[in-house]
Amino acid sequence: MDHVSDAQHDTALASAHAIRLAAAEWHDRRERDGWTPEDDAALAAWLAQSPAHRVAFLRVDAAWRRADRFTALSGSRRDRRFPALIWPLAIRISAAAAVVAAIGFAAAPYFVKSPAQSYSTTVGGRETLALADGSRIELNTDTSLRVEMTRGRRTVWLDSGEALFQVRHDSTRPFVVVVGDRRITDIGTKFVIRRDETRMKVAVLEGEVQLDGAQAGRAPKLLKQGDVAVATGNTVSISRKTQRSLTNELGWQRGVLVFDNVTLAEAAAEFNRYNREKIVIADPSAAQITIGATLPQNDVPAFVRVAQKIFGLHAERQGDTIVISH
Amino acid sequence: MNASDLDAWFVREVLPLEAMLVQFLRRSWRNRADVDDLCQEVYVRVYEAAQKEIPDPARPFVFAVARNLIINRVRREQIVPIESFGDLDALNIAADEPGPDRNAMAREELRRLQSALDALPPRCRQAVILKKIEGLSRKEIAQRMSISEDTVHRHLTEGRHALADLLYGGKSDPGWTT
Repeated sequence: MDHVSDAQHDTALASAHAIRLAAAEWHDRRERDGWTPEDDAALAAWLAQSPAHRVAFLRVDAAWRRADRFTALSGSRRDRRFPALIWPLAIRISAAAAVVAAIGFAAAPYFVKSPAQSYSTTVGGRETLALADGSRIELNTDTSLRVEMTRGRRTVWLDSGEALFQVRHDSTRPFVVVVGDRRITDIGTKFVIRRDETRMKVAVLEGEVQLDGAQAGRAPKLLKQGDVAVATGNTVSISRKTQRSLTNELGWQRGVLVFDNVTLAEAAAEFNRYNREKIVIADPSAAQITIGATLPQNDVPAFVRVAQKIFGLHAERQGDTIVISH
Repeated sequence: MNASDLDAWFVREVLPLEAMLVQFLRRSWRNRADVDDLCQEVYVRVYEAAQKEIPDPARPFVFAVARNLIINRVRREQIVPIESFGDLDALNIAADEPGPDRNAMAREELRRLQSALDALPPRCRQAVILKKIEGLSRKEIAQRMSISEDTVHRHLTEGRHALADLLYGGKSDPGWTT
């Protein structure tokens, strides 16, 4: 680092403040209406002009993404765990409006009258809720749920995603999870529920739960420790799983995904739940390869390396998508 | 190493060091008004070096760059810094101790976000809340706050700028400790 390069840097970096402000301005302007391809080119040119511009932009972008957690905060702001989290302005937002905003409901605000608190996580996120009754709910990636605690009843609506429930049992105050038109009632329990677009899966880790079906008249099903129920449409299938396989499925609690003899396609689908970057297995023969691995759930490059180095597959990035093929 | 990997590395490994880096620069350099510029210069040098090869681990490298930068400035300007670099080693030792548990970290992050938000100027904070929490469009924010969309743009620009300083520079949280 001689004097000449120092001098050059000094000129380029006349004011960090000015550059950071410019980066923030670009970052916000990019979201405005009327952003054109020419604007895009101008931004690219500005970024290419100096590494100082680039790092300032990265910094403001990363901070703004971190602030995505505000959404989680809004759901938690009256949670007892965070007594300090009082939002001077946000607090004026009615509970109903907050529910609408947090779960992205398309209904008009006046339509929602539930006093339920809503909580959500972003893709790759994970949150633990400690409820006032001593129960805990752990939200996995990309999950939305609502909690309503009344004197005679504790109700959770799992709107999407996956959550692990550790319920402090109270027979005078049932703990019920509503998933679409099905209900799961705790009978002293730890259980995990995952809701996809077309199916729901309940796995019981400890104790028992009761699963009530969609249609009236059907007998409720009692699920015991180790039972896994998968409900699709009107059908429910129940199987028994080993402790090890249940533990594997809860790898997300530790931030990992455990694949034990699953196909590459299934593994990619699991990864895609946790990451904005999506992996696509382009050809069917590659999709059928089975793997066994434990990988950090946000480590897309690790997954790609496994595909490349171990299975000799080809990986190509197309924007936010990584296409894997022979 | 493609550009997006490099950027992701920078965000993941270097930006979280900013509070510590700023503290180091404040101690080592007489004029506090220069600290943001020095920090930015460290970033540029680290980023340029990483284009050739990613330094791993990042922390000792970032602080070595900072120290070299200060030493060169001192030589050039014929001045003596107020304090020696004695605390540099102390900063490095704490490198990768096991962190607090995830819940505590999540709470800490929420607390930090909360205090960053509280530190924003009122109008700016309101615009950020309407955007981030209520998810309103710019038009709706303008209507709600009875201001033009250009003014919404100004508030959100200021909000982004301030949040970056608050979240990375630790300006809302001077009591940084390991």
